[in-house]
Amino acid sequence: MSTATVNSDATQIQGGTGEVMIEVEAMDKYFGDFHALKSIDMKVGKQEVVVVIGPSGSGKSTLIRCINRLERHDRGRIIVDGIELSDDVRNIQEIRRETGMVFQSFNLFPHLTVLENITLAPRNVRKVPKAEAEAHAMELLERVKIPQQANKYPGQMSGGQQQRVAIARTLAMRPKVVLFDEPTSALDPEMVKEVLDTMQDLANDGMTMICVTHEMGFAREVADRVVFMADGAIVEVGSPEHFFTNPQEDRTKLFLSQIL
Amino acid sequence: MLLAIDDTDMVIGLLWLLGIGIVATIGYVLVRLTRQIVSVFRQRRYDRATGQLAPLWRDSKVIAVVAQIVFGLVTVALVWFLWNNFTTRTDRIGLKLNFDFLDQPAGITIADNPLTPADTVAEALVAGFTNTIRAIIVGIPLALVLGTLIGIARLSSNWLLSKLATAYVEFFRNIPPLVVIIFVWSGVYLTSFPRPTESWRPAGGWLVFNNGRFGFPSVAGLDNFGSFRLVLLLALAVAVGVAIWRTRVNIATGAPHHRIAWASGSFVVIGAIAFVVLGGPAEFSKPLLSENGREFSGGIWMQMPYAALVSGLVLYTASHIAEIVRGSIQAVDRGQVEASEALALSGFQRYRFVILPQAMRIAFPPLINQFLNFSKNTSLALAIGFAETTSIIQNLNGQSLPAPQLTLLLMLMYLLLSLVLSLIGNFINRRLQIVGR
Amino acid sequence: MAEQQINPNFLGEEPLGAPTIRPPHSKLSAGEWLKTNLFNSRLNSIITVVVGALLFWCGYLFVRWIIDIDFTIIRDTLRVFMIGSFPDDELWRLWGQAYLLVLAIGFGSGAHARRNHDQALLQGVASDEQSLWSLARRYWPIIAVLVFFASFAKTFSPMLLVITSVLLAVATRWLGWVAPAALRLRAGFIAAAAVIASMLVVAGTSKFGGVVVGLLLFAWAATELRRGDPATSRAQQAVRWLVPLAVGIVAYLVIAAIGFEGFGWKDWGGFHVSVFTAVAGIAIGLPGGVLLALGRRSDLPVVKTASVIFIEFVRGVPLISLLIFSIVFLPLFLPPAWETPTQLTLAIVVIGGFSAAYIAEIVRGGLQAVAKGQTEAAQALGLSPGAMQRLIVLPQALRAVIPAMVGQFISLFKDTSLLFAAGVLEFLGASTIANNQPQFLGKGLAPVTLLFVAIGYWAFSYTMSRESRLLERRLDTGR
Repeated sequence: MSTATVNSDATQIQGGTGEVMIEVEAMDKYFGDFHALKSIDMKVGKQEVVVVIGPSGSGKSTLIRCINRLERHDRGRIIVDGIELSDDVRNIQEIRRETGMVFQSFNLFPHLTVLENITLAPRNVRKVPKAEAEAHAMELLERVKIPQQANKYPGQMSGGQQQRVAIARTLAMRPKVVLFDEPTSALDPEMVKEVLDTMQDLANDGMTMICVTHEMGFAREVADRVVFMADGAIVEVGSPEHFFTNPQEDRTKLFLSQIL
Repeated sequence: MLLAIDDTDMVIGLLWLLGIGIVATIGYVLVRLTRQIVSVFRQRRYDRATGQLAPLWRDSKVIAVVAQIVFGLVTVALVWFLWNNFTTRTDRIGLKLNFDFLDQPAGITIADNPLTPADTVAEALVAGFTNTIRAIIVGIPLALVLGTLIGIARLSSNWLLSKLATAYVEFFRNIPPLVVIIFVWSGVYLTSFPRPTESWRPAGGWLVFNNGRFGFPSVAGLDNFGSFRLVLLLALAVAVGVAIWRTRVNIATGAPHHRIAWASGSFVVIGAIAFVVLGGPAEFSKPLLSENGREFSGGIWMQMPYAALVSGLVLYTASHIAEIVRGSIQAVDRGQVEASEALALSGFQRYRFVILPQAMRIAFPPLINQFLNFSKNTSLALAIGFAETTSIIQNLNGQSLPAPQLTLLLMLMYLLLSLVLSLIGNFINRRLQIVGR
Repeated sequence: MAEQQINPNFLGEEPLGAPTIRPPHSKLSAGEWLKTNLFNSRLNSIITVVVGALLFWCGYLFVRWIIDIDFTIIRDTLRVFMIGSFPDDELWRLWGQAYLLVLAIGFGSGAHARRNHDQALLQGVASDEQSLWSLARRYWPIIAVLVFFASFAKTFSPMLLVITSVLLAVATRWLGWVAPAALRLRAGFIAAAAVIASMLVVAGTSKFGGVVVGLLLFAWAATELRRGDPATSRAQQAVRWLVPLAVGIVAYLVIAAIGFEGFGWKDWGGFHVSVFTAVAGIAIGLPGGVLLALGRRSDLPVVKTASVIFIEFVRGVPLISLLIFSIVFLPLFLPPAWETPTQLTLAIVVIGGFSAAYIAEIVRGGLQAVAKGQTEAAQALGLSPGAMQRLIVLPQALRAVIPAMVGQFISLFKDTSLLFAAGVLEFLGASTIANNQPQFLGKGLAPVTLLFVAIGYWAFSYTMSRESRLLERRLDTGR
């Protein structure tokens, strides 16, 4: 085994327009005394799709949660679309406005209808007029192929439908980046495909995406780059083909053998 | 006694507790705030060094600190304003803001209590608090037993019994406890029982009932009573030992343990032998009431308002406890019953080993709440004149003593009571939860 | 959430989806029923016999007692029980108050039921209109007890009030159901306006009344302006604040200038004051409790400590001691120039704070029940902390604790019986007054008056607690 050939540099953008969208520099994150992320360096380009994989507890979810400040990073810098993510409340709000996030457990608002879920943020954050927000919401529902569900409540829908609504809700803010945090892990197997198809459409439309997922099929089809993380550090970076054909690190091989 | 602590010192001690509590809280808050401020400075220095410094008014950490300082200042200003009004007004009416009155004669008497008008205010307060404790100590176990029985009765397969229990719960839960107490007092006890001169004396005079007080037999010590009590204590220890031994036998051999029978048997045997050997160290004391119904001696006497307070509150609280008991038993997961059925446990074993331990864990926190409610509700005695804490304070308030200080003491006494009860409750609760896991 | 998933007008006691076709063995003959429910084991047979005999004996005694009761004392003192010493020639104010309150409740609940109904239809879930019969089944104890109260009156007018009120309730509920959508959308404000009007009828117009009306109209105007599209420009935003402000100030000035003579509450009493105090206590306690709960969950140690101290202090002492506090302490805290308010005012302030502490704990439970993912999703969407609480967290938390809140209201209603400690003549206290009348003194009639009082408390508390259980079940099945 020759570690010298392992590429663990995540700052080389692949695909997309080549411009930098997200820049993470020497970023550390602690939970109490636990060093959750160890000096992460990473760049994501405009319209690039990055898939992050790794065993549970490797810090991959924490990484994307730091990018929109659901977790506060302790050291280093995060710059999203030229905006520095610091304690500055204005910057935090701006980054959150530009960054969408899709959660493992959907996190739709159960007290609001599908339409209200989607129009809530545009109307209250972007101050879009109601009619316009609703028209856009219906467009998005068409796009995720569930326009007939607009007046239902999340509790009345299947998991796959809920996750597609969650994607529509995120897109309603017209984000520049969408972060996916294991979007298919909480779904029944037969519903995984409909969500992945939606994500693939989104990628084809040129959205910048970071996806934490174990769906290697999706990674192979869509990803420009795959990042493998373990123990809070980036271990190996490469194209999907690289991971399928000749992963270098032992930990990568072990992990892939377990999930494939 | 090494330290001579009188009642005044105890009451003053309560005030010290309050003072320490206030100082400790303010200290805690200031320390937390200071630490936060220090960390803000540190963070901003780091931010400046790395070139990500946010303007002061947009820095979330600065905003948090400033918001707290503003909140604290507003609170202090409000307290200062109220205190200012308070001192101005008390000055105007010539009220002295000290606690010297605790040593003055209280000028009140309490039924069935040796307190004289010449005794001090502090002594009266302690007497009142003792009466509160007496009501709680008797009432809570009674309410627990009655409530548990009714709760189980609601789950009975007997239609009549469960409907009766439901009716009981629905009735008592939906009327104010004060109505129950006053009803028991003026509607039942005062009207159903004879005047003292015509007291009922059932069971050969061993029980005495009239509308002033009830008399019950008690145990009075004779010669060697002290040694007898010591022996009983030893017998208790022996009984516990026997129970442990039987458990070990059960664990080692699988033979039935019969712990309770063995333990109580050994206790009774030792007690009986000691009683004979010590030449009859105790006897039953008969409650005696003079013909005019005024003087009473022997036995144990319970005054009517006390009986009304305790029984009224027990009736009321039991309805709430019954609901908790029923709810907790029903809350035990249905799968637990199925699992124990699948393990072929008998009906009793199912209850004893699977359902009840889990139901108890669910029931305990709301039960603590009910116990706290019971203790606070003893203050309702004010309406029927049983001399517990609240009644005594109101009584003293009418004695040209400084009412604000007395009211403060009143609230402090209940606060202390609630604090102690919830500490005990939380302690037991933690044990229950850990054991459960 | 899915309260709407199920039929919102569902009223029965059985769980939804109970099969309409019962299995063959569900119908038991009388003999079989007795055997399975009363005599299915030796122990149960003994219990049945003993309990049955006991019940029979107690029932016999009770009936004999009831038959022998002379209700003259209730008949003579009914006024005291109901309204204390409210003067005769001001009684019309109470009638007006009652009608306005009924209007508020009827219209509000009608509109609310219609909204649930429409939403269910929108989602293609079955929903039927509420029949009069089902309403009667829900509220019979209250109606029965009002008729019961009025039946003791020597004149017909109280009964007339009860009958007309019930009719008005039915009529306004129907109105709430059929009203145009624009009115139904504003039903909350209409109901609130009626409630405030009901207070003004009694209290008359004053500066304080002006402030309350002004606040209501301010809130109404602000809501109307925000109903459309969000403000995009500064000027638009300014208009959205200034116009409601102007409306509120004008309303204040108008109300303050009307000079409609009122009637303070120093002579209020009886059942009227019990209900009023409970409602006022909850009305003050709800906003206070929400703030305290948010404070207690705050990250800021200063705010958190202050909330915890207030909540735990109030919950650690009995209400009676707080009512004594309201007499002894509260006036001393007021600025020296102020006059001492009436005892009812002081008591309401204390009861408001008291219920705020208890509601805070209830709301805290609701806040804890809101999943962490909800706040994360709201943050990820870029909602500001305030908007997140207002639009996402509080609606869910408050909805989840409605049943507990009704329970708190019942408990507060029962607690109003302690107002005697603050020198207010409430429903229970009227019983003492009645028994101290010279013609009834020492006649041992306390059980009669107490029974009357107990029935009054019971009917209201029982109806409300059933409602809260119904709500709870709806929320549960909704999840």
